[in-house]
Amino acid sequence: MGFHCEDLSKHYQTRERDLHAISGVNLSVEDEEFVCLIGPSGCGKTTLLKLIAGLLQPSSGRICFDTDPPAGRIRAGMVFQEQGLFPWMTIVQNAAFGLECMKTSSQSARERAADFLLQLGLGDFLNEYPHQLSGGMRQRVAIARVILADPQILLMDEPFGSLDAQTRMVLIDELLRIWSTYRKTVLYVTHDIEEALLLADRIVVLSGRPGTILETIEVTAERPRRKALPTDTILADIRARVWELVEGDVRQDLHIEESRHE
Amino acid sequence: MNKMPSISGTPIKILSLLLVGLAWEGMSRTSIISPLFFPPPSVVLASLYDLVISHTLWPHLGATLMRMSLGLLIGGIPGILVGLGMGWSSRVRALLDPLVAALHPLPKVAILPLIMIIFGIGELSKVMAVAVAVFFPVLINSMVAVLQIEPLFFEVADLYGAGRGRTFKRVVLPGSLPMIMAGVRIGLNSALLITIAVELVTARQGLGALIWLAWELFRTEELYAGLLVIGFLGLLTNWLMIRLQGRLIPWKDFQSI
Repeated sequence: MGFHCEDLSKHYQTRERDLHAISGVNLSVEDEEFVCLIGPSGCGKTTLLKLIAGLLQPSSGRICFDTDPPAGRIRAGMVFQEQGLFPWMTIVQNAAFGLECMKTSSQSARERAADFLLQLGLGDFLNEYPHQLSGGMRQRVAIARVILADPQILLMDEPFGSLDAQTRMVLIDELLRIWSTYRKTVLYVTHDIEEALLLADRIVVLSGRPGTILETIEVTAERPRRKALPTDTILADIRARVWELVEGDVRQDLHIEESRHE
Repeated sequence: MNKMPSISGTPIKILSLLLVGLAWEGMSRTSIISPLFFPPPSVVLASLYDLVISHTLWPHLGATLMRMSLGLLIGGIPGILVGLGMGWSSRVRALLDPLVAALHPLPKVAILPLIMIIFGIGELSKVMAVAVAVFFPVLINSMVAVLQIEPLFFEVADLYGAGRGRTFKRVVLPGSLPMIMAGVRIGLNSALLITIAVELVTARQGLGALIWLAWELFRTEELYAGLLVIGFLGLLTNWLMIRLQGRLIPWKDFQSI
């Protein structure tokens, strides 16, 4: 399902000052489109996701959704960077949580969750607790939970950001596989340009705080792109362009002056 | 997980106890320390044995256990409920916080006379004194327990449309359980403390009364025997709590505590 953010802004009132997280964001995402959001840390990417998820209310502007979710279903599901699983629930209970909230009996919710986890190869861990699993496995369970709940929009907030590079590569491939099966509208936040190049139909680059959209870049290359990534000239151009856009903000963050060697 | 310290640690712990006991025994027997104030451990153990055999100990122990457990229930359950309410609802918290802040710092022994005025000098006032002492640490721990739950978990529940009931049952309750149990453990220790204190002052039965009587009759060995039982009771209840925590909170490792 597609949706449109129209002139979306959010600021937080703190005691000392107004904090503008995002300001004037216009973004349209089409049905079944995979959009990656890239930008420096603290540019309000998470805020944008939470606005779309309905966890926050915008200060101004609005979000229009093409359709309403059918009764008893949720519009948007979200995968968080880490710690999104409940530590007090077993793996299968965690995966079934979304289903249970939708008035599915907990018996059948857990059966379906167990089935799905089995498909993902997590069958041996159904009754373990999250702390007994590796970070990569925990994120797979978090993805299972959201896919089982079958939302119309999938929001992902740097889901693999805290994992090591190899684990991340494998999980990106798995996510693409899942996405091609379940075909959801995805908005995926990352600060990793490679990740965005592998995943996105479109890369949206945000500026530093307050977050505004700097540029939107289409990525038309065929998936999977991992083999082509190091050599493909179009992908290389996109990578260079994205870096050009973010570099300034990153430098500013680190208080490094603009390229002194020039 | 780490079994090494407990295996090699236990004999060492016993060793230190044994050494102190032996030194005490020797010094008391040779009157280096006064056997009147510090009777040798063997005499204390014999006195404890007599208390058990003559069935003198059981009514005292029973009375103490009864006051402790009643106080724990009467103070602990409302403590958990009010604490959860204050933790979950900022309105309830705003309403009750000044009251708790004013009453909590009072040493609970100090309000014993007041409790005796209100509830009489019978059994009820003793149990209520224990209940008050249990109520506050349990309440405060339960409140903080809810407040320290990651906001993220509430967001996840929100996201999937879990209502207030489900959020309470699946997020608030389990999320706060570890700290609630820690509060109950503190409450249990206050319960023992206040029970003994109350018994020292007002009771005819109970372990506190037993050691008070021993003091009045200058039976030091019986006094030590009473202390031994109280110490053991403290150890036992703490051990039971750790077992209970392990059972109720399988997602945390309590072995190390």
